[in-house]
This record gives sequence, C-alpha cells and structure tokens, in this order.
Amino acid sequence: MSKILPPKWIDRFLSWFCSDHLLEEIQGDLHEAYQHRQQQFGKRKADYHFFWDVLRFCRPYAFERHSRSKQFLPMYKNYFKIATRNLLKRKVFTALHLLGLAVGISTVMLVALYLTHELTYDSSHPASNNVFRLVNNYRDQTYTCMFFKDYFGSDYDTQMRLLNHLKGYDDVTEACHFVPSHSAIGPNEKVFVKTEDRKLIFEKLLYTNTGQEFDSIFPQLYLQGNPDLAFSAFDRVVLTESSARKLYGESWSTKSLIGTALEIQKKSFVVGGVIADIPGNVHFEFDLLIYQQKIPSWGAYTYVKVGAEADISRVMTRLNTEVELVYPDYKQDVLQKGISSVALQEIHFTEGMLYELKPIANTTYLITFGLVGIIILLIIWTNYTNLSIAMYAGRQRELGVRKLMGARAHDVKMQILTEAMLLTIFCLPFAWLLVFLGLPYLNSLMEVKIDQYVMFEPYTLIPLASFLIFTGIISALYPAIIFSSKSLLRLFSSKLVVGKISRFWNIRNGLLTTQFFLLIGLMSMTFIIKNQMSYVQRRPPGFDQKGVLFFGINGKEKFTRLKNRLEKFPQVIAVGSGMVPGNEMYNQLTYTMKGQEEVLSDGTLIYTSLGSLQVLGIESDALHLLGGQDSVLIINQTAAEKLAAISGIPAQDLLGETLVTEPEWENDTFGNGQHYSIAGIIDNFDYFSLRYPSQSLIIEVFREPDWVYNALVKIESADWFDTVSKIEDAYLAIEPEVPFDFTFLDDHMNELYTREQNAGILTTILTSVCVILAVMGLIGVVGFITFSRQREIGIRKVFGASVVNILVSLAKNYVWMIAAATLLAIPFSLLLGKEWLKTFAYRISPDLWTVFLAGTVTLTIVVVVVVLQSVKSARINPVDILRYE
Amino acid sequence: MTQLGYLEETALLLIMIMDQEAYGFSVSEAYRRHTGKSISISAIHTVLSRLEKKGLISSEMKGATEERGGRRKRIFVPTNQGKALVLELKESRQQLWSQIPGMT
Repeated sequence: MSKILPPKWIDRFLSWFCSDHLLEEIQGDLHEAYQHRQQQFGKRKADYHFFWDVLRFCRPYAFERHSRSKQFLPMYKNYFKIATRNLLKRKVFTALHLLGLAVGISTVMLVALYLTHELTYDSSHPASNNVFRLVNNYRDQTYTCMFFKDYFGSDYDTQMRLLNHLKGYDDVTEACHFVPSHSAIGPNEKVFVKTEDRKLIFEKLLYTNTGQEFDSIFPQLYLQGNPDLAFSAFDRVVLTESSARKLYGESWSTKSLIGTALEIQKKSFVVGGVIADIPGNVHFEFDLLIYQQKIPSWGAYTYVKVGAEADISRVMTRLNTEVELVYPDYKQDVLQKGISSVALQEIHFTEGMLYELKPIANTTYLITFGLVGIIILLIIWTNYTNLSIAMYAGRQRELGVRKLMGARAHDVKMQILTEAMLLTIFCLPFAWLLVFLGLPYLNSLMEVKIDQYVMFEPYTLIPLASFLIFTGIISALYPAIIFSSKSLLRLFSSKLVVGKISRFWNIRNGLLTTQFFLLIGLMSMTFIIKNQMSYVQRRPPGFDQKGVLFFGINGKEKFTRLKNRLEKFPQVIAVGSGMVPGNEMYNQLTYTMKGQEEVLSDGTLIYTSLGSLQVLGIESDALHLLGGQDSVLIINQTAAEKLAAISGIPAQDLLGETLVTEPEWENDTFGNGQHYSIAGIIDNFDYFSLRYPSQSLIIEVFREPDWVYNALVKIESADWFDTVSKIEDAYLAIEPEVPFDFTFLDDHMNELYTREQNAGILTTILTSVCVILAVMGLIGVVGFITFSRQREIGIRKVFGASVVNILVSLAKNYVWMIAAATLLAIPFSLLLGKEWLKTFAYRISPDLWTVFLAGTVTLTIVVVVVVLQSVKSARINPVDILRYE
Repeated sequence: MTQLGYLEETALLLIMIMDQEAYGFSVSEAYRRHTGKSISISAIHTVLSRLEKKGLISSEMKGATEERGGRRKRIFVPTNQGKALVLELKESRQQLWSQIPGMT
C-alpha cells in the first residue's frame, strides 16, 4: 500500500520559501505530523492542518539564510568586478550593445509618450466628461464654430444671444465661447504688445467676452490673481507664464503684474492674472487671453457644460426646437441643417469638420506607431536574450569553475542576472538623455507639444527604469536558468549547454524574420513617401510661384499707397491683392447654369484682383475686358466640365452664358441667386493642396477691389534680402501698427505638406532604429552560431573548404529569411502605402520595386554584418580548434 | 544568568526527559500531552532554535524514518550549560517554595 502524502503544491510552496538548510527537518516534522493526523482524523483534516502549519512557517526564522550564504554576500562585489571586466574586454561589442539598447528603449519610450499625449487630449480638466462643443451643420459641411446672428455686425447682446439662451436651460450649468486669433475664423494677424519698456510681437491671442464661464469650463491654474479678479471688467488680459516671462523678463514672478497696463494694437488693457502655460494636449492654445466686450469675428467656438445627471441629447433637441429664438429664420433657411454637439474628449478624434483649431489625431499614425513600438520592444527582448546567450556560451568554463569552488545554483543565477542588470542600469542615463533630446524633434515632427519637463516626472522615469530593468532580467533569465541548473561536468564538457534547445531557436528565427520584415516594410514606406513628395514638388502648379511673396495689409487706401511706392522699385514686377494659392479646403457654395434644375454644391468662390493674376502669371483673354468694366467672372476647366455636364452645353461654348451662384437665395435683383456672365475659362491650377481633387473654381476678378486684406508682390532680384527689406521699409512707413509678416509663395506651398514630409522623416528615423536593432540582433546570433559551429568549421577547412565557402554556408540562412520577409512585406507595404497615399488626390501608385529595393538594402546590411562577425572564425587555423579532439 | 521564558523552560525540560528522542514533532507532541494545550510545529521550531542559539541544547541530524519520507530528524540533546541552568532554576524555585508559610 502506498503512503498517503500531503498535497504536492503545498509541499512545493514550502520548499520554495524555506531556506535550504532548514527544509529537511521542517519538512520531515510536518510530514510526520501529517501521517499521524491522517491516521487519526482522515485525509481532509490532515490536509487542512498541513496547509496551516506550512503557512505558519512563513516567518523570518524559516527564511533565514544559512551562515554559508552570508559569507557569499560579498560575492556581489566579485560579480560586479567580473561583469565590468567582461564589458571592458569587448569594448566595441559593449558600445554597440549599449547603443542598441538605448536607441531601442528610447524609441519605445518616445512612442509611448506620443500615444499618451494623443490619447489624453482634453482629459485633464476634472469635469471634462460634461463639456460639449456646439457645432453647426450648414450645407454639406459641419462648422466647428457657431455663428452670431448678425455675423461681423453683431453687438455684444447679439453675440451673447445663444449663450444666454442656453443658460436658461436647467441641464446647462455653464456656457462660454471664444475665438483664437490664429484660427480660421479669427483675425489672423500678429499684434504688437507694448509694456512700459518693451514692444513685442504676439501671434496667439484668445478673444472672449465670457471670462468667468471660460474659467469654470476650462479651469486654469492662476499663478497671480484669480478668475474673479481677472474678469471683473472688460479690457482685461490674462497672460500665460511664458508670455509674462517674455514681456516682463525672467524676474516677472517677483513683481505683482496685476493691474499693470498693456497696450495691444493701440488699445489699452489691464493685466488681470497670470496662468500656467496651456498644456499641449488641449485642443486650443493661446499666449494672451483678451477679455473684451466684442469678439472680433463673425462667430465663435461655443461650449456648454451640463450637470452631472443631465443628458446632452435633451439639451440639443430642445435647442434645435427653439433655435429661432436665437437665430430668427433658421428653419426657413434650407441650407441650415441643425446644431449638434461633440463631447470635449472627442474633439481631437472627430474627422471631417471645418475650421478645427488644431490638427486632429491621425488614427493611422496612432495604430502604426503603437504596433511599431510593440514590435521594437519584442525585438529588443529577443535580441538581448540572443546576445547574452552568445556571451555566456563563451564563458561556460568560467561558470564551471565557480561551481567547482562551491557556488550553488542560486549564486550562478544571481551572477548572470547581476551582470545583465548592470548593463541595463548603465544604459539608463543614455536612454533618458536620448528621450530628453528627442522630444523637441518628436514635437516638431508630430506637431505636438510635449513638455521636456515630463522627463523628470515619476510616471515617466519609473516606466523607463522598469523597461530597462525588465529587459535586463528577461534577457538574462534564460541563460541564468540553463547555466545554473547544469551539472559541473556538463559545464566543463566542450559541448555547448544551450545549443540543444531547438524549439527556442525556431522562435528566434521567426523573430529575426519579423525584424527583417519590419525593417523592409518601414524602408519601403520611406521610399513611397519620398517618391510622393518629390512628385508633389515637381508637378507644375499651373501658376508662377517663383519670387512671389505675400503679406497682410488692411484696407484699400493703405494698399494703394503701398502699391504706388512698390511699383517704383525696379525689382518689383507686379503687385496685386487677393487670391493666394495653396490652401486647405474651406466653405463651398452652390452654383448652376441659368435655367437648370440641377444644382452643384462643390463650388469655391474666389474674389481677387487683376494684379494678383498678373503676379501669378495666370492669363485669360477675358482679363482684357477689365478696361471697360469693374469685374469679370472666369471659371476653371473643372467647373466648366461640370457645368457642361448638367447643362448640355459643350464646355468651350459656355463663354457668355449665365452662371448662377447660390440659386436658393431669393432676392430682388435677380429673383434667385447671383447671376454672372462667364467671361473666360482658364486651365486648372493648384489652388488647393494636392490632397484634394481639382475643385470647381469660380473666380470674380476685380480691376481695383474695394476690400483689401493682403498684398502679393512678384520680385526679380539678385539680392532677395535687400529687396525684401526695402519692401518692409515701405510697408512700415504706411502701416506702423501691424508687424510686417511675409511669406514666400513656394514656402507656403511646401508648408501644405509639412505633415507628410514629417511622416517621411519619421519613417526614416524608425528605419534607422530598426537597422541598428537588426545589426545588434545579428551580431548576437551570428556570434553564437559561429562559436557553436567552430569545430564544424575546422573540419570543413580540413576537408578543403575555402573562407568564402564557409562564409556562404553561414550567411545562407539569412538570405532565406530576408526573402521570406520581403515576400511578407510586399502586401503590407503596398497596402499601407496605398492607405497613406489616399490622403492625396494627386498621387503616385506604390511600386513593387520599392519593396525589392528595401529587401536588397537589408540583404546588403545583413551580409556585411555576417561577414564581419564571422570572418575571424572562418579564417582560423583548423589546428587551433581541433587539437583537443 | 540566562533568561528563560515559560515555553523555553518547558521545552528544555521536555528535551531532558525525552533523552535522544527529542525533535520538532516529538517535542510538540510531548508538550501537548504534558500541558493539554496544542502547539504548532513552527512555534516549537522557533523555540528550539532559540534554545540552541543560547547554547542550552545542541543538535544533530539523524534517524530518518519512513513516515518522514526518508528525511532526517534534528535530534536535540541538552548541553552541560543547559543542564546546569535547569538545576539552578530548580534550586531557586525550591528556595522560594521553602519560604512559603504552611506549605512544607
């Protein structure tokens, strides 16, 4: 009869925590007690008591280490010494090791920071769940801002109408609105701000006439003053910390700025408070908050805060029913499609809205980065496991000697882990520095604002350190377990201890292939992006962009004076005002031919002057008519084709026919809409960015327009700098109040594609990270393989193999892996490439050869690494290896 | 003089009684028989190791049995110091006893 034994798992638990030298007696006593109880009370009760007895042994007494291991404590010093010697012995290897680890971990860290930043948009405010933005649906587009009843002409009461109405709702606790100056609906001009002794240019102003409400919906941290004080009267200004520093110097915080006077565009304001800078992950930004009675725009970004129990849909239903109390005739207007709401935290992720304040999150980028980050992390971990296996394979005898001298399994394990951790801890400052220095680049590439200060926050430091330490442990765990558990004899035999675990090595091959796949995929994406960008830049835009610059100027009178002055300069070829090509899409209007039922809704109406067309070199016979009349209407080829399709008149015969814009608008002059006679049809030109297909342009050209907001100048000069500064002087003589802020047209055109160019830079960086990691991984693997196949190489040489033969036999495997990775990368790169190119209406098609090119580059890198790493083994004298056999 | 707690003193006396048969489990059994109260093996182990540290008992690993799964026992025997201490304790108690009126 076999003996009944206590449950194994409890036993195992005991042997796990109990120190070795006490285990035998304790376990013996417990087992003896178990047998007695079992015979007396039965198995169940005995099991129960056994379990409690074991638990009661969880006390310092049982954990106490044997005196021998106490003597071993100073061994850490020895581990440290041996580890340092080993690292210094192979300086190049260690440097590469460190570089790979630091670059890899910091890339993962940057990706993590970016993802955190994007995914926590607008969530820092405590009540952010209850805040909603009101958006207006008009025609086929959704406007992120609401309009005022009388648009630009609204007085304070009219501007406040919507908010006052909303505040009457029980569900609504607060409502506010604002307009940032640098938004699509803001004044969009830089301003001079004057203190007693400084005059500086500011760009980002936020205008509001609902200060208190703004602060209760978007609470700010006040460094000086408080919201009650700041918004106690109009014409107050609230500074952010950095603008206070800009205006009052580094020592601003020592002075009380509250009540100081500021002059902004000739109007005087009183400083009402200083707040902390607006974090980057908020959907609006500003340097100065201007609290004044009138918002300088035709509408404003409007927000409501509802009560904790309230339902926003109830608010919206009621608002849409009662909308005519705010906007009379809203319901009569067939183009108004109702007001809806967007939750504050959704704003950053809502696509396809007009006039959004900041670029919205790009989900493709977020997912791609997340995946790349995870893969890089996996690669780092496998690479370092490979590297440490390779490293310890050569040190098998050393570990054997340690065991011979009395080191136990535990000691060997600790040694290997200590060594691995030493390197990763050594790596920590490098990785930290890389992330710290990389953040500004990440910010400019991804158009985000992550403060470098986060690098001092524990929630950044702790993950970074734990990433590294975990990498250290995980990379050394496998060799630690294998080497510590092997017997002395096995360690001293010339056979490798780790060579046999074939399943592990298959996983490793798989991961190596994944690594090549990622490298090839990213590299071909880089090629695709570069090709598209050069396509975009080489494509003729259909107008003359060389030597054209433009800047803002207010009013016809100033413009005419400036124009007369500029035209006297020999370098100035033409001066005009109006249309500047290179735009994002904006609001569209309906149009049709007179007498047609069908109405097109995708027209873009442009008012411009003859001068601007001369500057841009756009010509049409119709422009000669301007001698006899004030304005002519010309359309582009796309508009002509669309109109031809609905009216049945051939495009070239449209000249002289009547075009109707906004036919739904009833008026006394024309009955419905605005009527124009088509005077000319011009070739398509790139008015919008090439992301959009060619739009119907309806251009009304004035000889001398009455409204002027900008000036375009074409210059031809050998000395640009001199010419531009002459223009600036002329400008400042006429407009001393607004800074001269000019842009070259070709720069402006390029700026449209900043995001795409940045994506190109980013994939290039990620590709280089992958190259570094792949090289690191290969060094580890190839190093180990050549080491473990040393005798095979020796025997091959004895039988007459040449160095080249041996190198080929070592590199062969990788060729297959790269071939497989290239094949896998083809569908991936082409699909991802296509997805990315979709953002462009004008695009190249991703070519197969880009993937093959990437594959070839990868192959070259791999072959170079394999050859460099194994050439020493391949050239070795076979006698040296085989003499022990 | 070495201080001894009640549990320690009892354990030491039990070890002296059991002569070569004292180890963790047997001491806990003897304790239970003697006092009628049960005591966990871990508590006995702690007491025994404390006594050993004080130099009152010494130990040796021997006597593996079947029901222990072939594991050896740690057999405890009193040291001379231990024996002397017990005698000393006995004498001081005796002296106190003799001074109680009407108890001789």
